[in-house]
Amino acid sequence: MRYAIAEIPTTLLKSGAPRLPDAQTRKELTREKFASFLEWLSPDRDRAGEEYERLRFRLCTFFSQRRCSFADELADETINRVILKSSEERIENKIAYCYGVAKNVFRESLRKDRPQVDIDEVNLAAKAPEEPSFSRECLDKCLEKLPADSRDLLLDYFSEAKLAKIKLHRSISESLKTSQTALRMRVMRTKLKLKICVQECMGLNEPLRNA
Amino acid sequence: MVNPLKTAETVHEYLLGRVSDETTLEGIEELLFTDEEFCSQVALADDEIINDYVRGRLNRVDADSFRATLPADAERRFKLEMAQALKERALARDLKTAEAKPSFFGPIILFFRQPMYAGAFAVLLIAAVVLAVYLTRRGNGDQLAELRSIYQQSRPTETRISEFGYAPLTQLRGAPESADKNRLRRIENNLIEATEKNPNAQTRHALGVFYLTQHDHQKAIKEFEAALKFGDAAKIRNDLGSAYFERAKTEPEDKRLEDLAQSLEEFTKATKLDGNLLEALFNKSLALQELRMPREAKESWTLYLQKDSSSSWAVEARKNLARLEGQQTFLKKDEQVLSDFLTAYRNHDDARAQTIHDETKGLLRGPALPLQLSRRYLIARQRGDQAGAAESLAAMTYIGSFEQAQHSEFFFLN
Repeated sequence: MRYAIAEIPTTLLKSGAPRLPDAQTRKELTREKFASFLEWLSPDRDRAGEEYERLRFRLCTFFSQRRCSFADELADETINRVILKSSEERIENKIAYCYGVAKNVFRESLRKDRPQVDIDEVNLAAKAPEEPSFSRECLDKCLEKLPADSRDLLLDYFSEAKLAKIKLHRSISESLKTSQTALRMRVMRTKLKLKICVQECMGLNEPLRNA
Repeated sequence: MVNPLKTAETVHEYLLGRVSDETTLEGIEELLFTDEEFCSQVALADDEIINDYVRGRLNRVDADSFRATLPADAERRFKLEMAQALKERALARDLKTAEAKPSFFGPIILFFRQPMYAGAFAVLLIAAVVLAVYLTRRGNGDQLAELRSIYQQSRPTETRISEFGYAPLTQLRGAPESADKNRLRRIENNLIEATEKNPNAQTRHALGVFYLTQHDHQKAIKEFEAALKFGDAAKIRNDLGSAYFERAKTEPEDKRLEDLAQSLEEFTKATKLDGNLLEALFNKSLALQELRMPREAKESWTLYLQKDSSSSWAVEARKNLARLEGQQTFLKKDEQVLSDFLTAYRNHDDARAQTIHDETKGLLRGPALPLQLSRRYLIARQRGDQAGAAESLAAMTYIGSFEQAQHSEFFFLN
């Protein structure tokens, strides 16, 4: 089964999907290739979304713990390369392959020229591009979209109003008939859904818009 | 054997950017990309660190390390901002609720202030207790005794089921003898009948135990949960925990951890309800061990052995404890790590010395040998102990040379 372009989960296209780092790659990456890449991750559409988020987490963690300055950009670069490669040839062990590509991207990032610049010659007027500030308005909209029990769970988890946090978490856990770890997992998953929604609302990372 | 890279402590250090040793880093990365369960563990730990930071639950050192990771990690910065915004929203909601909501206890207090209602409630309560005692006396004792007798040679579960005596765990039990099959069928029928006639905590608990011994975990969990609706009880909690623990073995990787965590929760509740329930203490230690929490597991086994030092269960407990102690350098105290290393170094046991170093160098604190040896060197110098100082220095040079030769690492030579 192949994804029709319209079937690509919108959230994936808009949130956390790879940016296009250079003109060459931009030219080669297409929506079709990205759709094939998702299908390559998993034929099941929802599952592909989860796999994508998981892969991006792995890559961002890898690069940031390797002290790379722009971990997310290197993660995107890795994904871009895998997208191109996966459309050309059959790859058996997908995630292990991504790890191999990530190691290459990391090594290349170490080899890039880093010219020594005299501090007096630095042009302080040239500012780094600003990161868009987090939108609380989008957060509110997305919180509204969550099912009531998930929304309450998140707010309860961050609430300080009750007597003791530990007691509180225990009581949340008991009321949901779940364990502490299971509760933390549920909080994590709900936060992930919320994050995707907020990023979409903020219009972040629309990678293939111009592809 | 617990992989030291998978311990919560190592993952925590890794996510706070405090693992710099190449071998450890690579080991963790490989697991991150190849082991789904480990990836889930890391994702969960990462989320927890962010939550704890926002809620002010990280200590100062951890919070500093966490902040140091932010400049390079846009993804984490986004998650942090979102968690901070969620905390603000929670605060706003709490304030709104506090203003709007009348006290929950008000109407209850008013109810009990009227003597007539309070008296009626007391009568109802006494009647309920009498009924419960009556029903629990009518029993499934015979059925359970027969069930226990079937398993007196080989126990059906790794965990301890309430009131089951010791029997070794046989990995491959095979199908029961046909005589046993008939007995089991009869026991099941009797227990089901008893539950239908008198659905109470005891009958449902007994039926749950039967299903647990037959590895029908789903039905066992259902019965134990139904039994708990009649009232909390340590033994039911223990057996419910056992059902989750045993089910975890049959689950796919991502569900396994969830079931194990649930089992730990139940065993903990059981020990809180009855601190002397040996079955629950034993099972809790097993769950901690399976959840790769070696320090906590060790403490739990030690506690168990204080309460039961002579039974056959204690022999198993001691074996588990010994295995944990033998395998985990992380479990040893700092001085013990240094002492073990020096013994190996003095005996020219390079393999052992290098293993101890490899197991601790990623930590760059506490037990890490270069730090301990530097401290030992300074103390020896201060005391005028020339031999001690020289030995510490030589041992540090030894580690440095080893790192240089094996990993082209010059850090330890500095």
